[in-house]
Amino acid sequence: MRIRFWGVRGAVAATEARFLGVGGNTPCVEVRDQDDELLVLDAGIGLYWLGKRLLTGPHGRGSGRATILLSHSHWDHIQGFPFFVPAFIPGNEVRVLGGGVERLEDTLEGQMSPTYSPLVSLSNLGASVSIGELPERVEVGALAITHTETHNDQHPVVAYRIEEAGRSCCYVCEVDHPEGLRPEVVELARGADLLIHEAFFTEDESGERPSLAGSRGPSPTGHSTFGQATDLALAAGAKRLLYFYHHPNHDDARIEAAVERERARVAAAGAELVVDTAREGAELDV
Amino acid sequence: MRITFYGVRGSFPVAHAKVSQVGGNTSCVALRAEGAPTLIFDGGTGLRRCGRELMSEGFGDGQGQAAILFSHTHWDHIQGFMYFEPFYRAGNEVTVVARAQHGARLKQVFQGQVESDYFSYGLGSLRSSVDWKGVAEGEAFQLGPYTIETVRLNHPGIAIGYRVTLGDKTFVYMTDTAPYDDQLLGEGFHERKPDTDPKVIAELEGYGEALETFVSGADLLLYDTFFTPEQYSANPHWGHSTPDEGIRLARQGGVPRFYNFHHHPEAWDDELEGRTRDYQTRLGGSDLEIGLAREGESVEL
Repeated sequence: MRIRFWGVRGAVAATEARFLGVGGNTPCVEVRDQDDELLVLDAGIGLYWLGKRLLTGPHGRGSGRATILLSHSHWDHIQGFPFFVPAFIPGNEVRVLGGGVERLEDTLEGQMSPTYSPLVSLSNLGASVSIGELPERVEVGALAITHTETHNDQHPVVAYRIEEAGRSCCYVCEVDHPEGLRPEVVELARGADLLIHEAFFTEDESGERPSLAGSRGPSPTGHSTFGQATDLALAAGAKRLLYFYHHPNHDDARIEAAVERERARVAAAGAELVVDTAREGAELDV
Repeated sequence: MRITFYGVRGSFPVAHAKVSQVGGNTSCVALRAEGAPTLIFDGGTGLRRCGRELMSEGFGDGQGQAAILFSHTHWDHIQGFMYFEPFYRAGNEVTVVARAQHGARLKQVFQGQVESDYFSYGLGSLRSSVDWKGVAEGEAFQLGPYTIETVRLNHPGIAIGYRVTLGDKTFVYMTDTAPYDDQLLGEGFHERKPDTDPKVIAELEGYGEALETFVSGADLLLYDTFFTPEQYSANPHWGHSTPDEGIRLARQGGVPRFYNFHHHPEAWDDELEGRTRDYQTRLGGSDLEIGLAREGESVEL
Protein backbone atom coordinates (compact mmCIF):
# COMPACT_ATOMS: atom_id res chain seq x y z
CA MET A 1 0.00 0.00 0.00
CA ARG A 2 1.03 3.60 -0.55
CA ILE A 3 0.55 6.34 2.02
CA ARG A 4 0.57 10.11 1.79
CA PHE A 5 0.12 12.64 4.58
CA TRP A 6 -2.14 15.64 3.95
CA GLY A 7 -2.59 16.79 7.55
CA VAL A 8 -0.43 15.91 10.56
CA ARG A 9 -1.39 18.63 13.08
CA GLY A 10 -3.65 18.21 16.11
CA ALA A 11 -6.48 20.40 17.41
CA VAL A 12 -6.14 23.53 15.31
CA ALA A 13 -4.23 24.40 12.15
CA ALA A 14 -0.73 25.87 12.56
CA THR A 15 -0.32 28.29 9.68
CA GLU A 16 2.97 30.10 10.30
CA ALA A 17 6.02 29.28 8.19
CA ARG A 18 7.97 27.72 11.08
CA PHE A 19 5.39 24.89 11.27
CA LEU A 20 5.19 24.09 7.60
CA GLY A 21 8.24 21.81 7.28
CA VAL A 22 6.28 19.19 9.23
CA GLY A 23 2.90 20.62 8.27
CA GLY A 24 0.06 22.59 9.81
CA ASN A 25 -3.15 20.96 8.56
CA THR A 26 -5.40 18.96 10.87
CA PRO A 27 -5.35 15.17 10.35
CA CYS A 28 -5.80 13.49 7.00
CA VAL A 29 -3.94 10.51 5.55
CA GLU A 30 -4.39 9.01 2.08
CA VAL A 31 -3.94 5.25 1.70
CA ARG A 32 -3.98 3.52 -1.72
CA ASP A 33 -4.08 -0.18 -2.45
CA GLN A 34 -2.19 -1.83 -5.30
CA ASP A 35 -4.92 -0.77 -7.78
CA ASP A 36 -5.14 2.80 -6.50
CA GLU A 37 -8.37 2.21 -4.57
CA LEU A 38 -8.71 5.06 -2.04
CA LEU A 39 -8.97 4.96 1.72
CA VAL A 40 -8.78 8.17 3.76
CA LEU A 41 -8.01 8.32 7.47
CA ASP A 42 -9.64 11.32 9.15
CA ALA A 43 -11.19 14.37 7.55
CA GLY A 44 -9.24 17.31 8.97
CA ILE A 45 -8.38 20.28 6.79
CA GLY A 46 -5.82 18.19 4.92
CA LEU A 47 -8.84 16.60 3.21
CA TYR A 48 -9.45 19.79 1.22
CA TRP A 49 -6.02 19.52 -0.39
CA LEU A 50 -6.42 15.79 -1.02
CA GLY A 51 -9.81 16.46 -2.62
CA LYS A 52 -8.28 19.06 -4.87
CA ARG A 53 -5.62 16.59 -6.03
CA LEU A 54 -8.31 13.94 -6.68
CA LEU A 55 -10.09 16.21 -9.16
CA THR A 56 -7.48 15.40 -11.81
CA GLY A 57 -8.58 11.73 -11.71
CA PRO A 58 -11.90 9.83 -11.68
CA HIS A 59 -13.23 11.94 -8.78
CA GLY A 60 -13.14 14.98 -11.05
CA ARG A 61 -15.35 13.15 -13.57
CA GLY A 62 -17.90 11.80 -11.11
CA SER A 63 -16.65 8.24 -11.24
CA GLY A 64 -14.51 8.17 -8.10
CA ARG A 65 -14.91 6.27 -4.86
CA ALA A 66 -13.59 7.08 -1.41
CA THR A 67 -13.94 5.49 2.01
CA ILE A 68 -13.21 7.85 4.90
CA LEU A 69 -12.57 6.28 8.29
CA LEU A 70 -12.70 8.62 11.27
CA SER A 71 -10.73 8.07 14.45
CA HIS A 72 -12.83 10.56 16.31
CA SER A 73 -15.61 13.08 15.62
CA HIS A 74 -14.05 16.16 17.21
CA TRP A 75 -13.76 19.21 14.96
CA ASP A 76 -10.22 18.72 13.92
CA HIS A 77 -11.11 15.31 12.47
CA ILE A 78 -14.18 16.38 10.50
CA GLN A 79 -13.64 20.04 9.62
CA GLY A 80 -12.30 19.22 6.16
CA PHE A 81 -15.37 17.21 5.16
CA PRO A 82 -17.53 20.20 4.12
CA PHE A 83 -14.66 21.27 1.85
CA PHE A 84 -14.06 17.87 0.20
CA VAL A 85 -14.90 18.86 -3.37
CA PRO A 86 -15.41 15.26 -4.69
CA ALA A 87 -18.38 15.00 -2.28
CA PHE A 88 -20.14 17.69 -4.33
CA ILE A 89 -19.75 15.94 -7.68
CA PRO A 90 -22.66 13.73 -8.72
CA GLY A 91 -21.60 10.20 -9.53
CA ASN A 92 -18.87 9.97 -6.91
CA GLU A 93 -19.40 7.59 -4.03
CA VAL A 94 -18.21 8.64 -0.61
CA ARG A 95 -18.53 6.39 2.41
CA VAL A 96 -17.81 7.72 5.92
CA LEU A 97 -17.48 5.37 8.87
CA GLY A 98 -16.17 5.29 12.43
CA GLY A 99 -15.61 8.20 14.78
CA GLY A 100 -16.68 6.32 17.89
CA VAL A 101 -19.99 8.18 18.17
CA GLU A 102 -23.34 6.50 18.40
CA ARG A 103 -24.81 8.01 15.23
CA LEU A 104 -22.13 9.48 13.04
CA GLU A 105 -24.73 10.74 10.59
CA ASP A 106 -26.25 13.00 13.26
CA THR A 107 -22.83 14.35 14.17
CA LEU A 108 -21.98 15.19 10.56
CA GLU A 109 -25.47 16.57 9.95
CA GLY A 110 -24.98 18.84 12.98
CA GLN A 111 -21.74 20.11 11.48
CA MET A 112 -23.64 21.21 8.36
CA SER A 113 -26.63 22.74 10.09
CA PRO A 114 -27.43 26.27 8.89
CA THR A 115 -26.20 27.75 12.16
CA TYR A 116 -22.67 26.63 11.37
CA SER A 117 -22.49 26.02 7.64
CA PRO A 118 -23.84 27.34 4.36
CA LEU A 119 -24.35 23.73 3.24
CA VAL A 120 -27.39 23.40 5.55
CA SER A 121 -27.65 19.62 5.23
CA LEU A 122 -25.76 16.52 4.15
CA SER A 123 -28.50 16.01 1.57
CA ASN A 124 -27.09 18.97 -0.38
CA LEU A 125 -23.91 17.09 -1.21
CA GLY A 126 -24.06 16.03 -4.85
CA ALA A 127 -22.20 12.75 -4.56
CA SER A 128 -23.76 9.61 -3.18
CA VAL A 129 -22.69 9.86 0.45
CA SER A 130 -23.27 7.01 2.85
CA ILE A 131 -22.60 7.27 6.55
CA GLY A 132 -22.98 4.12 8.50
CA GLU A 133 -21.91 1.89 11.32
CA LEU A 134 -18.39 0.63 11.31
CA PRO A 135 -18.39 -3.14 10.67
CA GLU A 136 -15.74 -5.36 12.27
CA ARG A 137 -13.96 -5.59 8.97
CA VAL A 138 -14.01 -3.05 6.14
CA GLU A 139 -12.70 -3.77 2.67
CA VAL A 140 -11.45 -1.07 0.34
CA GLY A 141 -10.14 -2.77 -2.80
CA ALA A 142 -7.37 -5.02 -1.59
CA LEU A 143 -7.12 -3.24 1.75
CA ALA A 144 -8.65 -5.06 4.73
CA ILE A 145 -9.25 -2.85 7.73
CA THR A 146 -9.90 -3.93 11.31
CA HIS A 147 -10.14 -1.66 14.33
CA THR A 148 -10.24 -1.42 18.08
CA GLU A 149 -12.33 0.92 20.16
CA THR A 150 -10.22 2.83 22.62
CA HIS A 151 -10.20 6.18 24.38
CA ASN A 152 -8.87 9.67 24.59
CA ASP A 153 -9.59 10.50 28.22
CA GLN A 154 -13.36 9.78 28.38
CA HIS A 155 -13.97 10.32 24.66
CA PRO A 156 -14.33 7.23 22.45
CA VAL A 157 -11.78 6.84 19.67
CA VAL A 158 -11.27 4.23 16.97
CA ALA A 159 -7.77 2.99 16.06
CA TYR A 160 -7.31 1.18 12.75
CA ARG A 161 -5.17 -1.59 11.30
CA ILE A 162 -4.92 -1.79 7.53
CA GLU A 163 -3.54 -4.86 5.78
CA GLU A 164 -2.70 -5.70 2.21
CA ALA A 165 -0.71 -8.67 0.93
CA GLY A 166 0.89 -9.38 4.30
CA ARG A 167 1.87 -5.76 4.95
CA SER A 168 0.26 -3.69 7.69
CA CYS A 169 -0.18 -0.10 8.79
CA CYS A 170 -1.79 1.06 12.07
CA TYR A 171 -3.35 4.46 12.67
CA VAL A 172 -3.59 5.54 16.29
CA CYS A 173 -4.70 9.14 16.70
CA GLU A 174 -6.09 10.87 19.82
CA VAL A 175 -5.19 8.06 22.17
CA ASP A 176 -3.68 8.46 25.60
CA HIS A 177 -2.00 5.88 27.80
CA PRO A 178 -2.81 7.11 31.31
CA GLU A 179 -1.86 3.95 33.24
CA GLY A 180 0.68 2.07 31.20
CA LEU A 181 0.07 1.36 27.54
CA ARG A 182 -3.51 0.63 26.54
CA PRO A 183 -3.44 -3.15 25.89
CA GLU A 184 -5.99 -3.04 23.07
CA VAL A 185 -3.76 -0.63 21.16
CA VAL A 186 -0.62 -2.70 21.73
CA GLU A 187 -2.54 -5.71 20.42
CA LEU A 188 -3.78 -3.83 17.37
CA ALA A 189 -0.27 -2.62 16.47
CA ARG A 190 1.38 -6.04 16.97
CA GLY A 191 4.12 -6.52 14.37
CA ALA A 192 2.91 -3.62 12.19
CA ASP A 193 5.19 -2.59 9.35
CA LEU A 194 4.19 1.01 9.99
CA LEU A 195 2.64 2.58 13.06
CA ILE A 196 1.27 6.12 12.82
CA HIS A 197 0.83 7.21 16.43
CA GLU A 198 -0.06 10.56 17.91
CA ALA A 199 2.63 12.48 19.82
CA PHE A 200 0.86 15.64 20.97
CA PHE A 201 3.18 16.34 23.88
CA THR A 202 6.94 16.25 24.30
CA GLU A 203 8.30 14.48 27.39
CA ASP A 204 8.96 17.70 29.31
CA GLU A 205 5.32 18.71 28.81
CA SER A 206 3.76 15.52 30.13
CA GLY A 207 3.08 17.08 33.55
CA GLU A 208 2.00 20.52 32.47
CA ARG A 209 0.15 19.51 29.25
CA PRO A 210 0.16 23.02 27.72
CA SER A 211 -3.19 24.38 26.72
CA LEU A 212 -4.03 25.78 23.32
CA ALA A 213 -5.32 28.86 25.11
CA GLY A 214 -2.22 29.86 27.05
CA SER A 215 -1.06 29.14 30.58
CA ARG A 216 -4.51 29.53 32.14
CA GLY A 217 -6.46 27.61 29.53
CA PRO A 218 -7.76 24.06 30.12
CA SER A 219 -5.04 21.43 29.73
CA PRO A 220 -5.79 19.08 26.86
CA THR A 221 -6.55 15.62 28.16
CA GLY A 222 -6.22 12.31 26.45
CA HIS A 223 -2.99 12.63 24.49
CA SER A 224 0.30 10.78 24.25
CA THR A 225 3.89 11.94 24.38
CA PHE A 226 6.56 11.09 21.82
CA GLY A 227 7.99 8.68 24.40
CA GLN A 228 4.70 6.85 24.88
CA ALA A 229 4.35 6.45 21.12
CA THR A 230 7.85 4.95 21.04
CA ASP A 231 7.09 2.69 24.00
CA LEU A 232 3.99 1.44 22.26
CA ALA A 233 5.83 0.75 19.01
CA LEU A 234 8.51 -1.17 20.93
CA ALA A 235 5.97 -3.13 22.97
CA ALA A 236 4.04 -4.07 19.83
CA GLY A 237 7.16 -4.94 17.86
CA ALA A 238 6.29 -2.45 15.10
CA LYS A 239 9.00 -1.93 12.51
CA ARG A 240 8.58 1.72 11.77
CA LEU A 241 6.94 4.57 13.72
CA LEU A 242 5.85 7.99 12.49
CA TYR A 243 4.88 10.63 15.08
CA PHE A 244 1.65 12.34 14.18
CA TYR A 245 -0.98 14.82 15.47
CA HIS A 246 1.52 17.41 16.61
CA HIS A 247 0.68 20.14 19.12
CA PRO A 248 -0.01 23.48 17.36
CA ASN A 249 2.71 25.10 19.51
CA HIS A 250 5.38 22.66 18.29
CA ASP A 251 7.35 24.13 15.42
CA ASP A 252 9.60 22.15 13.07
CA ALA A 253 12.71 22.53 15.25
CA ARG A 254 10.90 21.35 18.35
CA ILE A 255 9.49 18.28 16.61
CA GLU A 256 12.85 17.36 15.04
CA ALA A 257 14.51 17.65 18.48
CA ALA A 258 11.89 15.36 20.02
CA VAL A 259 12.41 12.83 17.21
CA GLU A 260 16.19 12.90 17.80
CA ARG A 261 15.65 12.18 21.46
CA GLU A 262 13.47 9.18 20.61
CA ARG A 263 16.03 7.89 18.08
CA ALA A 264 18.64 7.94 20.80
CA ARG A 265 16.32 6.05 23.15
CA VAL A 266 15.58 3.41 20.54
CA ALA A 267 19.28 3.01 19.79
CA ALA A 268 20.10 2.75 23.51
CA ALA A 269 17.50 -0.01 23.81
CA GLY A 270 19.22 -1.85 20.96
CA ALA A 271 15.93 -1.98 19.05
CA GLU A 272 15.60 -1.93 15.27
CA LEU A 273 12.57 0.32 15.24
CA VAL A 274 12.87 3.20 12.74
CA VAL A 275 11.30 6.47 13.95
CA ASP A 276 10.57 9.80 12.30
CA THR A 277 7.85 12.43 12.17
CA ALA A 278 5.02 12.22 9.68
CA ARG A 279 5.36 15.12 7.24
CA GLU A 280 2.73 16.63 5.00
CA GLY A 281 3.44 15.88 1.38
CA ALA A 282 5.58 12.85 2.23
CA GLU A 283 4.69 9.63 0.40
CA LEU A 284 5.82 6.18 1.40
CA ASP A 285 5.31 2.58 0.44
CA VAL A 286 4.44 0.05 3.10
CA MET B 1 -8.21 53.86 16.98
CA ARG B 2 -5.99 51.03 15.79
CA ILE B 3 -7.24 48.07 13.73
CA THR B 4 -5.11 44.89 13.86
CA PHE B 5 -5.50 41.83 11.66
CA TYR B 6 -5.14 38.43 13.36
CA GLY B 7 -6.91 36.28 10.78
CA VAL B 8 -7.64 37.35 7.21
CA ARG B 9 -8.57 34.07 5.46
CA GLY B 10 -12.01 32.77 4.53
CA SER B 11 -13.53 29.25 4.65
CA PHE B 12 -10.79 27.40 6.55
CA PRO B 13 -7.30 28.04 7.93
CA VAL B 14 -4.62 27.57 5.30
CA ALA B 15 -1.29 26.06 6.33
CA HIS B 16 0.55 26.57 3.06
CA ALA B 17 3.87 28.25 2.28
CA LYS B 18 2.23 30.28 -0.49
CA VAL B 19 0.01 32.18 1.96
CA SER B 20 2.37 32.57 4.88
CA GLN B 21 3.13 36.24 4.13
CA VAL B 22 -0.49 37.42 4.01
CA GLY B 23 -1.57 34.83 6.56
CA GLY B 24 -3.60 31.63 6.79
CA ASN B 25 -5.74 32.08 9.91
CA THR B 26 -9.49 32.54 9.59
CA SER B 27 -11.22 35.85 10.34
CA CYS B 28 -10.30 37.85 13.41
CA VAL B 29 -9.71 41.61 13.63
CA ALA B 30 -9.18 43.73 16.77
CA LEU B 31 -9.97 47.39 17.36
CA ARG B 32 -8.10 49.10 20.18
CA ALA B 33 -8.62 52.63 21.41
CA GLU B 34 -7.10 54.40 24.40
CA GLY B 35 -9.17 53.88 27.54
CA ALA B 36 -11.91 51.90 25.77
CA PRO B 37 -12.74 48.18 25.75
CA THR B 38 -11.12 46.10 22.99
CA LEU B 39 -13.48 45.20 20.19
CA ILE B 40 -12.85 41.98 18.28
CA PHE B 41 -14.58 41.15 15.02
CA ASP B 42 -15.13 37.42 14.48
CA GLY B 43 -13.51 34.49 16.24
CA GLY B 44 -11.74 32.46 13.57
CA THR B 45 -8.42 30.77 14.31
CA GLY B 46 -6.78 34.22 14.48
CA LEU B 47 -8.52 34.71 17.83
CA ARG B 48 -5.88 32.48 19.47
CA ARG B 49 -3.04 34.91 18.85
CA CYS B 50 -5.28 37.90 19.55
CA GLY B 51 -6.12 36.48 22.99
CA ARG B 52 -2.47 35.74 23.72
CA GLU B 53 -1.49 39.35 22.99
CA LEU B 54 -4.33 40.76 25.09
CA MET B 55 -2.99 38.93 28.14
CA SER B 56 -0.26 41.56 28.38
CA GLU B 57 -2.81 44.37 28.08
CA GLY B 58 -4.73 44.07 31.35
CA PHE B 59 -6.44 40.75 30.55
CA GLY B 60 -3.60 38.85 32.23
CA ASP B 61 -4.51 40.56 35.51
CA GLY B 62 -8.20 39.89 35.11
CA GLN B 63 -8.96 43.53 34.41
CA GLY B 64 -9.70 43.40 30.70
CA GLN B 65 -12.91 44.29 28.94
CA ALA B 66 -13.61 43.08 25.43
CA ALA B 67 -16.50 42.47 23.09
CA ILE B 68 -16.39 39.90 20.30
CA LEU B 69 -18.75 40.88 17.48
CA PHE B 70 -19.62 38.07 15.11
CA SER B 71 -20.58 38.62 11.50
CA HIS B 72 -22.32 35.22 11.71
CA THR B 73 -21.65 31.83 13.24
CA HIS B 74 -20.38 29.73 10.32
CA TRP B 75 -17.40 27.64 11.41
CA ASP B 76 -14.63 29.76 10.03
CA HIS B 77 -15.86 32.69 12.13
CA ILE B 78 -16.19 30.87 15.46
CA GLN B 79 -13.56 28.12 15.38
CA GLY B 80 -11.08 30.06 17.52
CA PHE B 81 -13.62 30.85 20.26
CA MET B 82 -12.52 28.26 22.81
CA TYR B 83 -8.85 29.23 22.34
CA PHE B 84 -9.31 32.85 23.50
CA GLU B 85 -7.00 33.11 26.50
CA PRO B 86 -8.76 36.01 28.34
CA PHE B 87 -11.76 33.68 28.86
CA TYR B 88 -9.68 31.65 31.31
CA ARG B 89 -8.77 34.50 33.69
CA ALA B 90 -11.42 35.39 36.26
CA GLY B 91 -12.23 39.07 36.39
CA ASN B 92 -12.14 39.69 32.66
CA GLU B 93 -15.42 40.79 31.13
CA VAL B 94 -16.32 39.64 27.64
CA THR B 95 -19.44 40.54 25.71
CA VAL B 96 -20.37 38.25 22.83
CA VAL B 97 -22.42 39.97 20.15
CA ALA B 98 -24.04 38.11 17.27
CA ARG B 99 -27.19 38.05 15.25
CA ALA B 100 -29.71 36.08 17.25
CA GLN B 101 -33.19 36.38 18.62
CA HIS B 102 -32.17 36.57 22.24
CA GLY B 103 -29.28 35.89 24.57
CA ALA B 104 -30.14 32.34 25.57
CA ARG B 105 -30.29 31.12 22.00
CA LEU B 106 -26.95 32.75 21.24
CA LYS B 107 -25.29 30.89 24.10
CA GLN B 108 -26.73 27.63 22.71
CA VAL B 109 -25.05 28.28 19.38
CA PHE B 110 -21.66 28.45 21.07
CA GLN B 111 -22.49 25.55 23.38
CA GLY B 112 -23.46 23.49 20.34
CA GLN B 113 -20.00 23.76 18.82
CA VAL B 114 -18.36 22.36 21.94
CA GLU B 115 -20.66 19.44 22.71
CA SER B 116 -18.74 16.27 23.47
CA ASP B 117 -19.17 14.92 19.94
CA TYR B 118 -17.15 17.88 18.69
CA PHE B 119 -14.85 19.17 21.42
CA SER B 120 -13.19 18.14 24.65
CA TYR B 121 -14.38 20.83 27.05
CA GLY B 122 -17.41 23.06 27.37
CA LEU B 123 -18.38 26.64 28.14
CA GLY B 124 -18.30 25.69 31.83
CA SER B 125 -14.52 26.04 31.74
CA LEU B 126 -14.68 29.77 30.96
CA ARG B 127 -13.64 31.87 33.99
CA SER B 128 -14.32 35.38 32.72
CA SER B 129 -17.80 36.78 32.76
CA VAL B 130 -19.59 36.39 29.44
CA ASP B 131 -22.52 38.56 28.46
CA TRP B 132 -24.42 37.11 25.50
CA LYS B 133 -25.95 39.89 23.47
CA GLY B 134 -28.13 39.01 20.51
CA VAL B 135 -28.72 41.76 17.97
CA ALA B 136 -31.06 42.02 15.04
CA GLU B 137 -29.76 43.22 11.68
CA GLY B 138 -30.28 46.95 11.45
CA GLU B 139 -30.13 47.39 15.23
CA ALA B 140 -27.86 50.08 16.68
CA PHE B 141 -26.48 50.04 20.22
CA GLN B 142 -23.96 51.63 22.52
CA LEU B 143 -21.07 49.55 23.85
CA GLY B 144 -19.07 51.56 26.36
CA PRO B 145 -17.91 54.64 24.46
CA TYR B 146 -18.59 53.07 21.05
CA THR B 147 -21.64 53.66 18.89
CA ILE B 148 -22.27 50.49 16.91
CA GLU B 149 -24.63 50.08 13.99
CA THR B 150 -25.42 46.87 12.11
CA VAL B 151 -26.65 46.01 8.64
CA ARG B 152 -27.91 42.91 6.90
CA LEU B 153 -25.38 41.30 4.55
CA ASN B 154 -26.09 39.00 1.61
CA HIS B 155 -24.97 35.59 2.85
CA PRO B 156 -26.59 32.16 3.29
CA GLY B 157 -28.23 32.27 6.72
CA ILE B 158 -27.64 36.07 6.87
CA ALA B 159 -24.51 37.78 8.19
CA ILE B 160 -24.28 41.28 9.62
CA GLY B 161 -21.85 44.14 9.06
CA TYR B 162 -20.72 46.48 11.84
CA ARG B 163 -20.11 50.22 11.77
CA VAL B 164 -18.23 51.44 14.84
CA THR B 165 -17.85 55.10 15.70
CA LEU B 166 -15.68 56.52 18.46
CA GLY B 167 -15.16 60.28 18.55
CA ASP B 168 -14.56 61.39 14.98
CA LYS B 169 -13.41 57.98 13.67
CA THR B 170 -15.55 55.32 12.02
CA PHE B 171 -14.61 51.77 11.05
CA VAL B 172 -16.79 49.44 8.96
CA TYR B 173 -16.34 45.65 9.15
CA MET B 174 -18.20 43.96 6.30
CA THR B 175 -17.85 40.23 5.69
CA ASP B 176 -19.36 37.77 4.52
CA THR B 177 -21.47 39.21 1.76
CA ALA B 178 -22.25 38.91 -1.91
CA PRO B 179 -23.18 42.04 -3.85
CA TYR B 180 -26.95 42.63 -3.74
CA ASP B 181 -27.10 42.00 -7.48
CA ASP B 182 -27.75 38.47 -8.68
CA GLN B 183 -29.03 36.61 -5.65
CA LEU B 184 -30.89 37.37 -2.46
CA LEU B 185 -29.40 35.10 0.17
CA GLY B 186 -30.79 34.53 3.60
CA GLU B 187 -32.94 31.70 4.85
CA GLY B 188 -33.31 30.71 1.19
CA PHE B 189 -31.94 31.55 -2.24
CA HIS B 190 -33.65 33.87 -4.70
CA GLU B 191 -32.05 34.28 -8.07
CA ARG B 192 -32.59 37.50 -9.96
CA LYS B 193 -34.14 36.58 -13.30
CA PRO B 194 -36.57 38.32 -15.66
CA ASP B 195 -39.52 36.56 -14.00
CA THR B 196 -38.36 37.03 -10.40
CA ASP B 197 -41.05 38.24 -7.99
CA PRO B 198 -40.87 42.07 -7.97
CA LYS B 199 -40.95 41.93 -4.18
CA VAL B 200 -37.62 40.05 -4.20
CA ILE B 201 -36.13 42.57 -6.63
CA ALA B 202 -37.29 45.42 -4.42
CA GLU B 203 -35.71 43.70 -1.41
CA LEU B 204 -32.42 43.24 -3.24
CA GLU B 205 -32.37 46.88 -4.25
CA GLY B 206 -33.40 48.07 -0.80
CA TYR B 207 -30.69 46.08 0.98
CA GLY B 208 -28.14 47.22 -1.60
CA GLU B 209 -28.99 50.87 -1.02
CA ALA B 210 -28.82 50.33 2.74
CA LEU B 211 -25.20 49.18 2.36
CA GLU B 212 -24.32 52.35 0.47
CA THR B 213 -25.73 54.48 3.28
CA PHE B 214 -24.08 52.27 5.88
CA VAL B 215 -20.50 52.79 4.66
CA SER B 216 -20.95 56.46 3.87
CA GLY B 217 -18.38 58.70 5.57
CA ALA B 218 -16.43 55.87 7.22
CA ASP B 219 -12.65 56.18 7.60
CA LEU B 220 -11.94 52.56 6.71
CA LEU B 221 -13.96 49.84 5.00
CA LEU B 222 -12.72 46.29 5.61
CA TYR B 223 -14.54 44.16 3.06
CA ASP B 224 -15.08 40.58 1.85
CA THR B 225 -12.98 40.21 -1.31
CA PHE B 226 -13.03 36.40 -1.36
CA PHE B 227 -13.62 36.28 -5.10
CA THR B 228 -12.16 37.72 -8.26
CA PRO B 229 -14.94 38.90 -10.60
CA GLU B 230 -14.56 35.66 -12.63
CA GLN B 231 -14.86 33.48 -9.54
CA TYR B 232 -17.88 35.46 -8.38
CA SER B 233 -19.67 34.93 -11.69
CA ALA B 234 -19.28 31.18 -11.27
CA ASN B 235 -20.49 31.21 -7.64
CA PRO B 236 -22.86 34.14 -7.01
CA HIS B 237 -24.80 32.05 -4.45
CA TRP B 238 -21.82 31.57 -2.10
CA GLY B 239 -22.35 34.90 -0.37
CA HIS B 240 -18.96 36.43 -1.09
CA SER B 241 -17.88 39.50 -2.99
CA THR B 242 -15.13 41.08 -5.07
CA PRO B 243 -12.77 44.05 -4.74
CA ASP B 244 -14.69 45.73 -7.59
CA GLU B 245 -17.94 45.75 -5.65
CA GLY B 246 -16.24 46.86 -2.41
CA ILE B 247 -14.35 49.66 -4.15
CA ARG B 248 -17.60 50.81 -5.75
CA LEU B 249 -19.18 51.02 -2.28
CA ALA B 250 -16.15 52.86 -0.86
CA ARG B 251 -16.17 55.38 -3.72
CA GLN B 252 -19.91 55.91 -3.47
CA GLY B 253 -19.64 56.55 0.28
CA GLY B 254 -16.57 58.78 0.09
CA VAL B 255 -14.53 56.28 2.15
CA PRO B 256 -10.81 57.10 1.86
CA ARG B 257 -9.40 53.67 2.76
CA PHE B 258 -10.50 50.27 1.47
CA TYR B 259 -8.90 47.02 2.64
CA ASN B 260 -9.28 43.61 1.00
CA PHE B 261 -10.16 40.92 3.55
CA HIS B 262 -11.47 37.35 3.96
CA HIS B 263 -9.17 36.03 1.28
CA HIS B 264 -9.88 32.88 -0.71
CA PRO B 265 -7.92 29.85 0.64
CA GLU B 266 -6.05 29.61 -2.64
CA ALA B 267 -5.35 33.30 -3.15
CA TRP B 268 -1.56 33.05 -2.91
CA ASP B 269 0.62 35.84 -1.52
CA ASP B 270 2.01 37.06 -4.84
CA GLU B 271 -1.44 37.04 -6.43
CA LEU B 272 -3.01 39.08 -3.62
CA GLU B 273 -0.12 41.54 -3.56
CA GLY B 274 -0.20 41.96 -7.33
CA ARG B 275 -3.97 42.27 -7.47
CA THR B 276 -4.01 44.92 -4.73
CA ARG B 277 -1.37 46.99 -6.54
CA ASP B 278 -3.34 46.65 -9.75
CA TYR B 279 -6.59 47.84 -8.13
CA GLN B 280 -4.74 50.76 -6.54
CA THR B 281 -3.48 51.82 -9.96
CA ARG B 282 -6.75 51.29 -11.81
CA LEU B 283 -9.40 52.27 -9.27
CA GLY B 284 -7.53 53.91 -6.39
CA GLY B 285 -5.77 57.20 -6.84
CA SER B 286 -5.04 60.07 -4.49
CA ASP B 287 -8.42 59.94 -2.76
CA LEU B 288 -8.71 56.18 -2.22
CA GLU B 289 -6.11 53.94 -0.61
CA ILE B 290 -6.59 50.27 -1.54
CA GLY B 291 -4.88 47.97 0.93
CA LEU B 292 -4.52 44.31 1.75
CA ALA B 293 -5.31 42.94 5.21
CA ARG B 294 -2.19 41.02 6.28
CA GLU B 295 -1.97 39.00 9.46
CA GLY B 296 -0.06 40.80 12.22
CA GLU B 297 -0.34 44.24 10.61
CA SER B 298 -2.27 47.23 11.91
CA VAL B 299 -3.95 50.29 10.45
CA GLU B 300 -4.17 53.52 12.45
CA LEU B 301 -7.25 55.65 11.96
